[in-house]
Amino acid sequence: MTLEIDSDNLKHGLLGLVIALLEIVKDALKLQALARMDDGSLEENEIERLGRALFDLDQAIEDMKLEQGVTESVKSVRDGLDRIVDDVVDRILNPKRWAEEVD
Amino acid sequence: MNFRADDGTKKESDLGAPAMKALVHLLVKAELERMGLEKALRIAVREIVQVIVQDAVHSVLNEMAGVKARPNLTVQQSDLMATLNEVSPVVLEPVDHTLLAKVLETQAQQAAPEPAGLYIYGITAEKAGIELEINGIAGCRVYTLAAAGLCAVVHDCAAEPYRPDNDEQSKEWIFDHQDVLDRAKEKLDTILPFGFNTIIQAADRPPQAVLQEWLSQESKQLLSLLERLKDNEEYAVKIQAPEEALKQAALREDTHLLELQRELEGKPEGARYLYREKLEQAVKEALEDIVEVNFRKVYQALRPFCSDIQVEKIKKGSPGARMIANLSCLVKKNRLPELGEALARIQHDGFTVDFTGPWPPYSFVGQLAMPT
Repeated sequence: MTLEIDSDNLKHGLLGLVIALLEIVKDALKLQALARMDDGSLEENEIERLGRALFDLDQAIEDMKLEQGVTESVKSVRDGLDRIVDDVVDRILNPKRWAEEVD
Repeated sequence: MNFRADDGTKKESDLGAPAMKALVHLLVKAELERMGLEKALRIAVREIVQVIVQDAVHSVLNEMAGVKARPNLTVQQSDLMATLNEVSPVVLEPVDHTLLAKVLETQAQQAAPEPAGLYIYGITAEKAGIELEINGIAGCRVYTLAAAGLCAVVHDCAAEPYRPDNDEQSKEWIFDHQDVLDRAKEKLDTILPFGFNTIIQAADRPPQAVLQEWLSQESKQLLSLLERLKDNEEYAVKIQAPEEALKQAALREDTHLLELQRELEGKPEGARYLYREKLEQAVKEALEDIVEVNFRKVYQALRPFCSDIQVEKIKKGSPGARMIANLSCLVKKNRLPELGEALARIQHDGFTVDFTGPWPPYSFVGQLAMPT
């Protein structure tokens, strides 16, 4: 992947990248929390506290995106990553791709 | 052919060492500048990640461990902006333009077109070649080349693919390609379309000979393919449904989801957030099933009117909508009205139908063994 850089969009791109990372970390934590809810290892008040913390984090990220006007760049970073992951998974799971690789 | 290659090498050596040296010098300099900039970027990113991500993760982890600590993100934003401002802007020194221009010019000369390649538009079942009087990509003269009861629509070109300078140009070329196929179809009936930028070239003999040999070798397969495509046209069908309606359908069909929704009502705010996430995930999963069911319905409704259907990859739909099916349909001309009626019924059921064509039957050419 090559970086196209000029000093104007540097700020935008970098901040977008960082917030996208932050979102991914948040999503991972949220999935973890949901898994723990499902296996019943959390008390009701623990669920409440955890939910509250994640909710605040969610809110803080949303506010930051709006304030800095980087909602679009965050989305494009995440879409790009999604595509890359899709591609990798497809290559691993799809026998058709294996044949192509051999060619 | 060998003679020409020698000629090329000579030109390159004539250019002389100083120009090449200068070019290398320029490249190295540009590369060094880029490396410096990347280093500055890496440092900046590291600092920013330290500033926000660590704190945010900490506060959530603390929360999981039961320690009371609120995320403190807003305070640190000023630090973040300061860090970003420290990254130095990019400065590029002016380069020696005359020298660069000279080098580029010489390169252009070397690539000057010898008609060493053959651009193929498509193949038809026509015994003798006919005069087409069509202009192709960038105004090239298009002609036909016959062999073994087949006829290829081609033009002479350089031995390398067309590389458009910008979107405008690539659009124009693709339209030219399409136009040639459309007009050749009027004169030659069924045509087996080739993709844009299909070019035959050979090092040791004329590409015309290579193509004719390939036509004779593959004539049986090509003729049966043409027979199958006869009187057929390709249409693209894309079916979308509004996401909200699908979600409602999922909620209606799955009592488990309704239960989750009811459970959600009485919870305090924090827990409600997590339960809502859980519900959304469950709905998303149910949605996949609904989409699958609808795809089957659509496919079965359309299949009887098509000679063949190719299922294409589902793409992202327009905002708020979900693509149910993306199909390439090979349709006999006389079945077209029936297909239209079937599509109208689907639209009546609340789906959005996007129907385009007729296209050359690109999706039904299959994998042809190309001449090497």
